[in-house]
Amino acid sequence: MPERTSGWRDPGTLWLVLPVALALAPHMLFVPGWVGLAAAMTLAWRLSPAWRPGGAQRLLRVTLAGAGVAATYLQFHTLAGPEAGIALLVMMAALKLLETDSRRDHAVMVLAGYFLVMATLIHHQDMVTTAWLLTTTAALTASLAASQAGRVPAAAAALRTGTLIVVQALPLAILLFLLFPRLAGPMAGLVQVESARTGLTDSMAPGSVSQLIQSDAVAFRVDFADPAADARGLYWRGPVLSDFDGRTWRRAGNHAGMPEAEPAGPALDYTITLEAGDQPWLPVAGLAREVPVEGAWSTTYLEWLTPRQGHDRLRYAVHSWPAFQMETELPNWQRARTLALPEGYNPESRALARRWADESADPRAIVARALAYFRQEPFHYTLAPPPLGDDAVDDFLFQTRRGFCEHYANAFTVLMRAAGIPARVVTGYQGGERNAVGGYWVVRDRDAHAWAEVWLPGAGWVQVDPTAAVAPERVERGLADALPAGERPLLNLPTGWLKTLRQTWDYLSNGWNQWVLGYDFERQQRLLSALSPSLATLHGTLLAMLAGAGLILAGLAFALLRDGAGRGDEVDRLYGRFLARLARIGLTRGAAEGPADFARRAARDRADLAPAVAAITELYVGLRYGGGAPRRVAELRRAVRGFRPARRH
Amino acid sequence: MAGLRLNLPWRRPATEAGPINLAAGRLYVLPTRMGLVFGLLLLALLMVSVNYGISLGYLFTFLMAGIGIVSLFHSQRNLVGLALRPLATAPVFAGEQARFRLAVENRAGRARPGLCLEHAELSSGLADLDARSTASLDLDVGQPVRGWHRLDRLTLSSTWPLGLFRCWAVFKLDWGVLVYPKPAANPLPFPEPAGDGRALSWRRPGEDEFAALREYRPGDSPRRIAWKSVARGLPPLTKQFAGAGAGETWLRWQDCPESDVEGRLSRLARWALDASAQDRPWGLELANFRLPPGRGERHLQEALAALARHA
Repeated sequence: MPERTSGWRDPGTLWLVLPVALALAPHMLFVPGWVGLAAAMTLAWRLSPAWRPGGAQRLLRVTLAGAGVAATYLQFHTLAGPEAGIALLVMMAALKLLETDSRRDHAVMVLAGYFLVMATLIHHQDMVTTAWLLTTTAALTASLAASQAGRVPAAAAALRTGTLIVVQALPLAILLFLLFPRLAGPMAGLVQVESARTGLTDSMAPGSVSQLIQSDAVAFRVDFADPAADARGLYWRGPVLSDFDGRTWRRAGNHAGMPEAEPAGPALDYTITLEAGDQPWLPVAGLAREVPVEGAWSTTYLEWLTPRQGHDRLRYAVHSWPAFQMETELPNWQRARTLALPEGYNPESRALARRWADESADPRAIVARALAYFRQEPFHYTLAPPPLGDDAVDDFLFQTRRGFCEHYANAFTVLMRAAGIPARVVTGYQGGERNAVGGYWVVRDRDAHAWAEVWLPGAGWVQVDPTAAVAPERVERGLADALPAGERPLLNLPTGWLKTLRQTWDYLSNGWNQWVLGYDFERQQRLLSALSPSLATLHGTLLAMLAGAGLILAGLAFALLRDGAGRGDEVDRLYGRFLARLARIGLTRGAAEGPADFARRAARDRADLAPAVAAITELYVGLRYGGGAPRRVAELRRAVRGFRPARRH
Repeated sequence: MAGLRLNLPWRRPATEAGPINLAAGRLYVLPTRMGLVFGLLLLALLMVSVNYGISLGYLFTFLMAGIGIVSLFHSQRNLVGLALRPLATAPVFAGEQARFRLAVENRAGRARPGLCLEHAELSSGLADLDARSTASLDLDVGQPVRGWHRLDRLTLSSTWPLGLFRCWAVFKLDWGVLVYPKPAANPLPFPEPAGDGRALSWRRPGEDEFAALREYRPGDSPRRIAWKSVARGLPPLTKQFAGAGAGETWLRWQDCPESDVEGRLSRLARWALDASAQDRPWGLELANFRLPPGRGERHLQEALAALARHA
């Protein structure tokens, strides 16, 4: 008896280990390094030719499992929760590989693999992940199918089975996805998904914006109701920073309540899809009376926030006024707060501002003078500014004169406060790129921007963008056009067909986000009411789901069970057709008459048909009792088709 | 045809002659234990999707549900349309195992993996059938008692493709095995051919005398074939001689030293085997059965069958 193969030479082992490895692979990015290492080593051991099944490893397995649980507890201080749970699952799945000798063990292993696939979705749900999901599911299913046969089947045959089952399951999956009743609103106990994207923060220190500007990540996408709308002129309002310590701008605090504000221009309608992030800001262009996000609220500085610190991908439709008038009466405490400057910093700048204030009592003139200063003096827009000292504004205004939005907003606001005009910094986004494929606008982290607001008597808070005075193209055409040619490669902007490719990919991703990942109660309701209003009730949805599932199941049953039950074997069917044609001319085969006897009788009765009858009968008997080559089935098919006996006259 | 006739697994199936064509209507499907675990997995997947609000998780959960249901149809499809034909079962001696071979014919263009034939506690193990092929599933059934033994309920099952559902068909075939009496363990000399006056009274010892012609049986010596009649184009006949004194042996019920029925049958079986091994002509005589002397394998089988069926 040949020695039993083991390790990677044994196809059964490969069928077990490889699909599970495929399911484990993406988790290597999320679990602690030692978990990944332990899992990889276990897999390697299982695949090594030295591996032997046996009870000797039982003690080892138990020890390893115990050590894994203990180490997980030490790492996470809990065994519950998604991170610790997934780490445990990864380790146990890898360890389970060491004891999969029976069919049952194999099946348990594959079910664990399915669960690992689900666990991946907590982190990733994009289209690439979906492609991986389908591949892995097919491979795991093929692995199960391989384990249920008598001997390990050929890889191609098992993979075909796995893929076929997954493909046949898709219609039902899509139907249930669309019609399974979704819950309205977010679930209680919704666990926040960690996100790598930071986005705007609640403070602005030198350099904080430039980090964002170098990030290519999508911040949000805007779909305007008016297709001709242009996002580039809009300022998407984020955190408003009123407190300054000489170096860093900070938010004044969470003062809830809409400020007194009035529209001062036409309104704009659009839908924002905000990517997941760990900050609460809901960007809005100008003044919005409400933002339809569960629990969204506004501060007195007209910032819109989510109730919790972080959020998943959000979608909200906004009706807002880009131009508006806000707080024509400024409360004293706010006036004091937005005039405050820490003592001892930037003496030269303050002297300059005081000189402007002495020369003109009109705050509007002072603002104009400051902007003219930026325009006329040799200021440059650059993402690579020279370093600044403690008196950052002095250094910037009188020495380096090179910087980008955060430098200009910072310097301008300090000048205004020094001149006695209430002023604050507003951060947010400005600009964006139109996706030519989808017709929507993509605003990225690199479109992060900082500008200023000054309070003018009678007019309230007025938006001023000092960067526009230096680099109007930044505001009109976007960041890339404002930068000197030498700095553009920093942004890594694609051009030509790469740009088209990227826009197409973004279009697909956006559709995926909207229709698959963003498919929630509301979208379901909208889709169902568009089909028929009666469907949009729970009753109607359930009924439609059951009816649809019934149809799909009936279709599956028909497709899969028909050929075995109703139609019978093709050879029998062809012979049956041959008999039917003979019966039509009066030659009926007796119940106890064999094919050969009947052929002899038919030939006696109708000598003219004898050659055809003999040929068909010979083919049939050969196929039925001799085993048939497909070629001979085709021959029989041709012969029966050509057999058209006519009644004798 | 089948209409709404309920074909429930606990009904005693009617005995069929075979071959049986497995129609969809006679297949049962129920989830296996792994299938129930799979159901729990679906529940867990749904809970994770709902709890974490993972939209793609819903899709994956429903895909898994679909996979489960599709596998149900595939497990039925794996058996439907198979033709089952019992092959002849070779007789065995009591105490031996009879091998029942069921020819399973797959006329479809797809393979049928993981088929299993079961009877009571016995199982054939898993067999895979290629497209358009026939294989036999074998059951080795222990036979402690002589006689004609029919197999009771048989089950053909498969858990392919995913092991979540078991599909099976129950059937009862007109399918049995003839079990010869267990030959007595201790050899005894053949009984003396004396003292019987009924059958052999006219025999003169030492003289071979032509008695009759009978139909040729395989195993008959070529020297005894009536070649003249063969040359005339008649079916072959064998010459029978009376008084073949040299080595002709009669095995008779009443000559057995044992007193009980089974003991006598065992003794006769043993004598028959020994006589056949020595290639001497021998006959068998029971109370209501008489086999004229002869030789060869077929003669032996005939005698053993008579012993097996002895009422």
